[in-house]
Amino acid sequence: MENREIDIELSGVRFAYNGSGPVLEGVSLSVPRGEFLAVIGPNGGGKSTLLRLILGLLEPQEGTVRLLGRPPRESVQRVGYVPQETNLNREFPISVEDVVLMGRFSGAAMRWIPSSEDRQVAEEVMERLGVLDLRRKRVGELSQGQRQRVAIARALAVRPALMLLDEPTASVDVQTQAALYQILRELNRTLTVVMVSHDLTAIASCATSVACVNRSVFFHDRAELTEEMVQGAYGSCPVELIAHGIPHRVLHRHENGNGSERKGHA
Amino acid sequence: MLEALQFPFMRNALLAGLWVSLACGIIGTLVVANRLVFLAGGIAHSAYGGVGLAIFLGFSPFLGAMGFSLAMAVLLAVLTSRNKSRADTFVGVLWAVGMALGVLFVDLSPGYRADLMNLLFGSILTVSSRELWMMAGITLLVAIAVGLKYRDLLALSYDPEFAATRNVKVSSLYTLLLLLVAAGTVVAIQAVGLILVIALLTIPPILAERSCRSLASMMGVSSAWSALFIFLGLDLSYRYNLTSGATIILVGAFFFFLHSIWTHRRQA
Repeated sequence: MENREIDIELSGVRFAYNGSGPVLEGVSLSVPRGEFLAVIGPNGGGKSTLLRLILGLLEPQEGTVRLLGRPPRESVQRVGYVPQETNLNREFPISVEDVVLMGRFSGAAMRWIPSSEDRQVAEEVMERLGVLDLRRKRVGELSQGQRQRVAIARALAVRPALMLLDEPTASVDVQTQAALYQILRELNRTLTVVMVSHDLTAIASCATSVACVNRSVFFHDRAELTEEMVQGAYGSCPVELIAHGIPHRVLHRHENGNGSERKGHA
Repeated sequence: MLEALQFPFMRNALLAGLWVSLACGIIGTLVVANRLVFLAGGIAHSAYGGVGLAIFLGFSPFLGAMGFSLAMAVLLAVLTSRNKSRADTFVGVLWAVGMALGVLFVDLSPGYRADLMNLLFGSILTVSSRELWMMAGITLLVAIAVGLKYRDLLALSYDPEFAATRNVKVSSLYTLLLLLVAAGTVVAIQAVGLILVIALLTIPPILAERSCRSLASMMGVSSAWSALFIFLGLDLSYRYNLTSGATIILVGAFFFFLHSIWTHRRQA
């Protein structure tokens, strides 16, 4: 394998919320630069927790996390994060432009008014994601797909080295989904992308590698799912999840000794 | 109403109304935007413990309420940051504990305190000049703190997860937010009392929310709504000899229902 820099590295990570059983256990994972990693798995399997550990928003009880070669807290400012949309207050009084400008904000350097450079960057990313016309609109007035574009623009306004997205296509229609994947594929030309998704078609349409998360992480460095991953991650009913209309076969029989797969213990 | 202005208590009440409007507009906006309505209610009610303590020890109930609710804000910030999903339980417990403590402190104090009703249901007509200065000072401090931390508070209020990735110190900022909510709430208690205050904190921002595109403008519009409710309420209570706090709240509620019907019809 070629020698690429590792953007995300987890080794032997264990995490539990106070007083409950571990959400993640024995997780080791490394994501080389330029990768498009799709993170899939059942609800409550620990996908979002994994992202929060990578971002340093949570600290593991065991094991280590490195982000862009450093402890996450030191490098998180170089990450463009697109959190799950569902937590947001839709009535919040804020314009599209002000949301995107949040990507230019840094808690360390207190600035009241965004600089002209900040405005320029914000304009550039809004243009790139096709939301420049909407800049004065309230975020609550936008469609789901438009709001996702705005969230991605805000993450890009960070000028990131790495994008982390949590379910960016969760409740958007199929066309919007395809458009968002198109955008993410383009971003992947210059950026490492890690995307949590419910949607297995994401693997076929953008991913270069897949991780199935269900307490442990099953990593596969090709855009394929093995039966073992699916069974480990989803348990008994994977078949339904392998949707119709996928351009190519996603479910791939695991070949012994291809050396490209690591797995944690289930 | 104009002839009422010859009374010093009425002039004090109007000035107090101005400070309360400002405090309500700023803090109410943060409460509504951060969905802290229940928590603000808890802080307001637990302030009664401070009122009781102040009566027991013989100092100003206003300072007692202030001290107690600031302490409550810190306690809630610590408890809820450790366990977010249990936040409402902690609020519920502290809400009742604060009030129970207040009742016991008053039991232990000699004499009958007529002004207790004022603290529960509002006493804008009996605000003293000294209290007026304290209200002004606290409101200005709150306004300055919100101004200085505006972008941080905006980031926290809109999306705390994203804010954390931009090096916003989310947990200390959250503590500051709760302290500001406590301070603003105690100022507003002067107008409508600690039981009714939650309506004055929430109705104006809800009326303002949909027409605003920034937190700052929502704060301004909410302040204007609060001022309207307080002055209309005062006028009605003067004309018809009604309790001012309750009248102010019902004026607000009247506008709230009109607004609800109007938005409902527009959406239908």
